[in-house]
Amino acid sequence: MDSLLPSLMLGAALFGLGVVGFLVRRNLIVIFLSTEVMFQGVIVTAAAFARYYAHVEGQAYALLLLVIAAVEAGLALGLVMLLYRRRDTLDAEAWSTMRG
Amino acid sequence: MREFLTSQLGVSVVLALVIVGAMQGAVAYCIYYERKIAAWIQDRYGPNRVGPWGILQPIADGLKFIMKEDVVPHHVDKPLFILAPAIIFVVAFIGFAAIPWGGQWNLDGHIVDIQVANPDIGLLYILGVAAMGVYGVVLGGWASNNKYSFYGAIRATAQMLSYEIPMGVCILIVALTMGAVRLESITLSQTGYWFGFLPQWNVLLHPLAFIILFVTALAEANRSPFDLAEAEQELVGGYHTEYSALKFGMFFLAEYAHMITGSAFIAVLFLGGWHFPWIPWTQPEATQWYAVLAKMAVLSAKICVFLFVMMWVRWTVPRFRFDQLMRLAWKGLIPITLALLVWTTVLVYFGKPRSGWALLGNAIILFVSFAYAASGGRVTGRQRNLPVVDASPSAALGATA
Amino acid sequence: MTAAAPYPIYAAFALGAFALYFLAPRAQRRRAVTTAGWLAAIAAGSVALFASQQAGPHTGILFYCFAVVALLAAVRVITHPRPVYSAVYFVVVVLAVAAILITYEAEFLAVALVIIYAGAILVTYLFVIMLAQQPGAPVYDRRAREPFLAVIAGFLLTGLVAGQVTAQRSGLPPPSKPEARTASTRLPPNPTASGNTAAIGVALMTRYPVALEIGGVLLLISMVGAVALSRKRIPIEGVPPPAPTLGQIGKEVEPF
Repeated sequence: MDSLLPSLMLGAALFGLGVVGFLVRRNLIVIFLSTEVMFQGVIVTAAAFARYYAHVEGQAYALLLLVIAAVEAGLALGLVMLLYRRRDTLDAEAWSTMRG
Repeated sequence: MREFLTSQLGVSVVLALVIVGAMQGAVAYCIYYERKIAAWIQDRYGPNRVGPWGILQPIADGLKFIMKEDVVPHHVDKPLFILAPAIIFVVAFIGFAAIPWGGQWNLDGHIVDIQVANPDIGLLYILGVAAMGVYGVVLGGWASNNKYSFYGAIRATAQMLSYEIPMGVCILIVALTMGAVRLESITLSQTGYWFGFLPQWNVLLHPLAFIILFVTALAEANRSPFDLAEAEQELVGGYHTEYSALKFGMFFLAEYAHMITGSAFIAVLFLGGWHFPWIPWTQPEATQWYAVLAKMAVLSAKICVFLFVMMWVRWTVPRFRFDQLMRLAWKGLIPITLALLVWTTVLVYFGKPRSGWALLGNAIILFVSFAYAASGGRVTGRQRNLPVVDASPSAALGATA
Repeated sequence: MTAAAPYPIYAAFALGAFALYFLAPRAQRRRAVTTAGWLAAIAAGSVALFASQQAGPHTGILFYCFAVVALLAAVRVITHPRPVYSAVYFVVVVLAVAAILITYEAEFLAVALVIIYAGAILVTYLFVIMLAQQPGAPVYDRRAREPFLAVIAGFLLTGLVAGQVTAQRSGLPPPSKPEARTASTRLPPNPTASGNTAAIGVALMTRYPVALEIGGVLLLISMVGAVALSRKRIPIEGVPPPAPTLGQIGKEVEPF
């Protein structure tokens, strides 16, 4: 049952796509969507390890990750709405006034 | 071939094909059923032109849906506009996969389940499928690029998200009481008797959760009195204003398919599924082909009763206002179901989740919530900031005079 | 497993990085660039498939099908110029990942993922996207920010990690025998018989009760925070707030 490597590659690729999306996109909501893509990569990895070691620990971690994702989404969307109502735009560059 | 047909996989494949076909027919006849019930409630005849007693009316309706011109307005977002009815139709029909239709069948010595799939997580599967149904509504309303459609979609989404919470908690109550999330096990453990004659159906333990689950099923299917998403007087046609021909028909059929899934689900959770007391053919031990048919008939009869009540409600009760709808969910149903959940966990801790104590808790919670509502707790009362409208007949007369 | 140098893995990730660079949203979208991007993506996928075939016996066709779906949809999430489509493609990612979790015998996790992500989180994302929508496609959705540096950073991060994992396979402890574990945490040997939902529940309640409680507290905090954030009345910068009428004073929440 040597199924670990393809799963780890998939997890790494999803995580990497999330990182690139986080850096590339300028829309605040799409930036947060990219972090959710990273979460998917981590969940795949955790579940793959859970299967590899025949142990539920990985699945329990993944469930707690889901909790964190829900918390993050709730707060992030509240913040995004707040920022949108202030500047009337979703552009992340609109909030770069602190840049030196 | 015979090997395959008598295996569980073969039975599942055949059953899936049969159910998808039968459900499309059943959904079409639901519309006929609804029109007849509406006519009966309003003291008129209803459809009676096509065929004897109008029983060919659904076929005429279906032909009309197919032969109308399929208009895609030029201002819509085309991919999502086409995707939305497909999503809602598929989601409405895949929920049937986990419903246990007829117990077990002894087929040439093999014991097979009369169920398309018997996953360990059947309860949660149906919850997940119901959660996906929101996408059809929200994408359809948005892609239509029409203010009224979008308002309808926003209303429907807020409503479905809010009513999913009490629905999920009611399902948790059943899962806690039964100690199982597999639908077949839940049905099986309701087949005993109390005092030798009362069936051990969950409705006798948690009548309050049963009623709340029924209400949330109405809301999830966007049925009256929760049909604000398509309130004609306010929103033209709601999220399907821009749809025509078969795409509109898919939205229409999906609503009835949602009703049937919801009814079957409530019947399995609270009314023992295919079990009917005192009839030996509907006991779990009976595995002959006629027993399977009898069990299917029992479940279908329970679904028909639920459908009748849903239609009865639609033609009797006026629609909620949106703030009343939200207040009912967040200040009414969610606290009540949470209190029930806490009570059930306490009973599980003491090892007596299926005893009269559950009923006692239901009675106490019902009494407390009624007392709170009656004492001006504004659980479902009028909103504080709105001007008070005197709706009495004398006030109406005064206004016109 | 020999510790061969993971060049195919590096090659796959480098090709994927090129593909992303070509596919990133840019001011003038040219068909040739997009086509080159998709070709590079396909090449990256084939090389990765080849590499994982070499690394060991493959896991099954279903895993690869859903992995391809998940990766393509994830690429569209981060490259699509319209946020609504990004969100819809993310739903596809979630469904594909849930299917992969089912091939890992993690049915409960898969359904929880669908209910929480697709049923709750993504719908709220769609809500916000639709409510905060600008007419037309605004420039900040059509032009990527430093795509070249970003794909290099992503490649360095994930390619090196993946390559190291491949090279260091012998360093990983071997898969444990199910019998070696205690009964409370072991996955049942035949998951179709009873499933592992009960095992996860037992593990969460007995081994990680503190984490579970912290999760609950976090959810509560986030709920309070979200309500507090959305109740504030925010003045748009440059526009003076309207003077409150007589009846409103003392009833509204104070602005920051």
